[in-house]
Amino acid sequence: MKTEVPVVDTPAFEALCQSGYREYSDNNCRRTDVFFAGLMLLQWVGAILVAIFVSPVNWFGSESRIHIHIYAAVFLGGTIVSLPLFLIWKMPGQTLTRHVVAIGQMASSALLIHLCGGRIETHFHAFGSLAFLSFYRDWRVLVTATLAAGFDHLLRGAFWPESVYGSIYVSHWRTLEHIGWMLFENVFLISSCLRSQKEMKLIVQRQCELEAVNAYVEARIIERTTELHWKTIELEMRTVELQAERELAMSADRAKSEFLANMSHEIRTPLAAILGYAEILYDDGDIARAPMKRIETIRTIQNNGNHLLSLVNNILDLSKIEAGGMTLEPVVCSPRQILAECVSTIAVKAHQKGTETYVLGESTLPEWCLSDPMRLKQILLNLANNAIKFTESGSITFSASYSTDSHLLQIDVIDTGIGIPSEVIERVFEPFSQADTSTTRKFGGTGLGLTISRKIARLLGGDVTLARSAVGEGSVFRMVIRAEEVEPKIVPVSFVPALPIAQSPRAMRAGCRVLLAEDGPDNQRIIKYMLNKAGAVVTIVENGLLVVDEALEASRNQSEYDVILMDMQMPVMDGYVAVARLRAENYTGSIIALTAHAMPGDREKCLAAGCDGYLAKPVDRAEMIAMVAQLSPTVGEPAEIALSH
Amino acid sequence: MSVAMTVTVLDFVTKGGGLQMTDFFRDALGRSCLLIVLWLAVVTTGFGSLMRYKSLPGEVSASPRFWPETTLLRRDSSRSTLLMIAHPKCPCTYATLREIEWIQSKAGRPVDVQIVFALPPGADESWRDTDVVRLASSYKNMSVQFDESGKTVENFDANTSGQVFLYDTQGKLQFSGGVTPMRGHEGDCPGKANLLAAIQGKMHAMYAPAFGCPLRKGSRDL
Repeated sequence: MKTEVPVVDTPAFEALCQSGYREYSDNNCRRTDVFFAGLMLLQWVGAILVAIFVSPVNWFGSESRIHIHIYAAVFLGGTIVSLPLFLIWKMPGQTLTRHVVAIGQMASSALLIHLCGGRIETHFHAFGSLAFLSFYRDWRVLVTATLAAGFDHLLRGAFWPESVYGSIYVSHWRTLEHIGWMLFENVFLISSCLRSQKEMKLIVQRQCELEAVNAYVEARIIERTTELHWKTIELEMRTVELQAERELAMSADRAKSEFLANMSHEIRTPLAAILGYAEILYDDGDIARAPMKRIETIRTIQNNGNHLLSLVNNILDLSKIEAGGMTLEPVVCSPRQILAECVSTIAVKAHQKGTETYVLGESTLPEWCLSDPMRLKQILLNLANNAIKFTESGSITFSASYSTDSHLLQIDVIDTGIGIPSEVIERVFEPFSQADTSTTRKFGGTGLGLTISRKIARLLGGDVTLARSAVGEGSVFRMVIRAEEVEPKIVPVSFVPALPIAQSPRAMRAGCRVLLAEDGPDNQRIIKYMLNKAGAVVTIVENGLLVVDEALEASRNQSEYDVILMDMQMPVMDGYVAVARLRAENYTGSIIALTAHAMPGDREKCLAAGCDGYLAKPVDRAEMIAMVAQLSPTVGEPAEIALSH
Repeated sequence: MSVAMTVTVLDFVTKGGGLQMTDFFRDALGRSCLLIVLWLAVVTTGFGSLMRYKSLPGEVSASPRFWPETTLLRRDSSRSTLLMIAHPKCPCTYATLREIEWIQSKAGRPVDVQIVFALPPGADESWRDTDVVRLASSYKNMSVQFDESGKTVENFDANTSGQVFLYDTQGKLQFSGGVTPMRGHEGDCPGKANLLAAIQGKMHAMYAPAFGCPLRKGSRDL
């Protein structure tokens, strides 16, 4: 419901104005009544004082009596003011009251004139009284006063002219002259009254307009406040709904995360066995003498296992990015070195497909810059692997450049592959999307690589775009990230270029004692096989409680294990509790967490529990051996076992 | 008819204040009209009584036709003698003194003005220094004297304060009476006019009423 804009020219408004004018006029008359009450009392007292001063007594020789003027001042003066005062008291503001006041005021003038011995100067009291009466702003009061004065003049002019005019030789015209002078004054006073009334009405009208506008504004405010109130309630309800939806979404997100974690764990665990046994099959015995079909079978198992692992890793990465859980670790790194590592990584694979690899503009890259080398490498490898995947022949070129002004590092990955049709260019960065379904069937892949690369690049302050592509001619994927160049002098002394731990130069010591805590028989066998092959002596326990007992017992017997490989999910006592208990018992040996949980935060959780390292299942053989070697004491000879894939 | 006219007049009067006729009847006529009439009647009566008192002359007896031989007052035979006998504390005498001063200034002929204040028996010195005496003494060309023994009052048979006597150069009475229109009121009146005419030698009446306090105890007053 909308409040109407106030309209002033309406009967209701007129009635309001009239009511306001009456009230205003009534208040004015009441104030003037009070004024005259005071004035008349003052005049009465003044009359008594004048009588006392001028003619206090009559003399009879040596005797005196109170002068009749005293009696006249007290009693006649008292009578004159009595009724006006009574009416002012009982009927303030009433029309009748002010007319009686007018008559009383004129009578007071007459009395004062008498008491002053008929002095003509005292006649000014009557003219002054008329002016005072105009305070009522009622011109008819002036008429009443003039009529009263005229009646007095006519009456006394007829019988006692000397009391009015100071002479007994007066004609009736003298009376008219006196009345005329009063009318003369009345002309101005009445004119003033009428003007005053008009102004008063105008003021009241303005006030009414103001009040109407105020009322309108107040109504609008109330209206708006009510609307606001309802909006607030709606908003609160909506907030509650959103809160519930958020809770639901968070619950769904938690369920999703839980699902991903479980899925990751449940897939990685058997995958670890599959890949591990495939590797054992490949390594065990003389593979060269094995039938080709068997070798191909093992390769197929390994390829599919790796593909499945890649898929799981990509899904986890994407989940991590979308949940905002991917944190960057900007450090001082060498873009040239990262590029070289990437090229080195994919060069063999590309060469195997008959594709040449080139690098352009490497020298334009800064020596050192500030970025996350692991993520930068991940992007480049994704783009390069894509290029290799879709390029049957020709070349793959890395074209690098750096803008010192904008600190943008740009690397284009140019291939001469099959290219991308223009109609699907927009979709290539969408998750699980490739050019068409046949692409997936023919080239494999999860359809997440570009999506993840773009998201990581954006986290790094840049983007990954498809610069150009033509079917049959190839594609150019462009990676741009913000990488601020740093001066060599601020490169930390301890800086070590980011190298895979598997490439650590340190080898495992022969006879390295490893306590493996793993409940899964398959993993027990695979990991033991890998470690044994690397020269380690492995003791296996099935749960956390046994690990604690065994590790502490060994310590007491001065035969500590060099490294404990601790599966974090075990029956009886899980790895977290076991590690915590060991650390509580002041166990200082190295503990490497081994878990199929590869979700965001799992590494940190393990390290926080007291582990020194973290390995995700399925374990990378080289990575595991390198980490064991790195964390085990250096006493003894390195094993002569070579790492092989 | 008169009621209808009254209603019309009252209606006219009250509409100036925004009252309706019904309101007026309820508020005024119903409760106050009688009171107003009564009030007007009392006030009018009061004024009437006051007028009547103030216009009531004092007692005037037959004045000596010639300047009394027994009086101690001297008379200047080269000019007319204007004698005023007054009570030294009579408030009405102020007006008489001012009128004589005015007449003297307008007469155009030299007049010997003598003011005699009649002191009552046993009057102390304060009676010689009243406001009226001081006013009279302040006028030039007026001589002020005191009648301690009452002889002057008796010789001229004066009864009312402010009574004026005018004798010509031969000592013959030309005027006797008051020169104010009412008690304590200045203004034109027959006494004033006659006195002026007498000084100027014009036709005039010999007597006029005098307004003032009685000079002697037992004289007539209100």
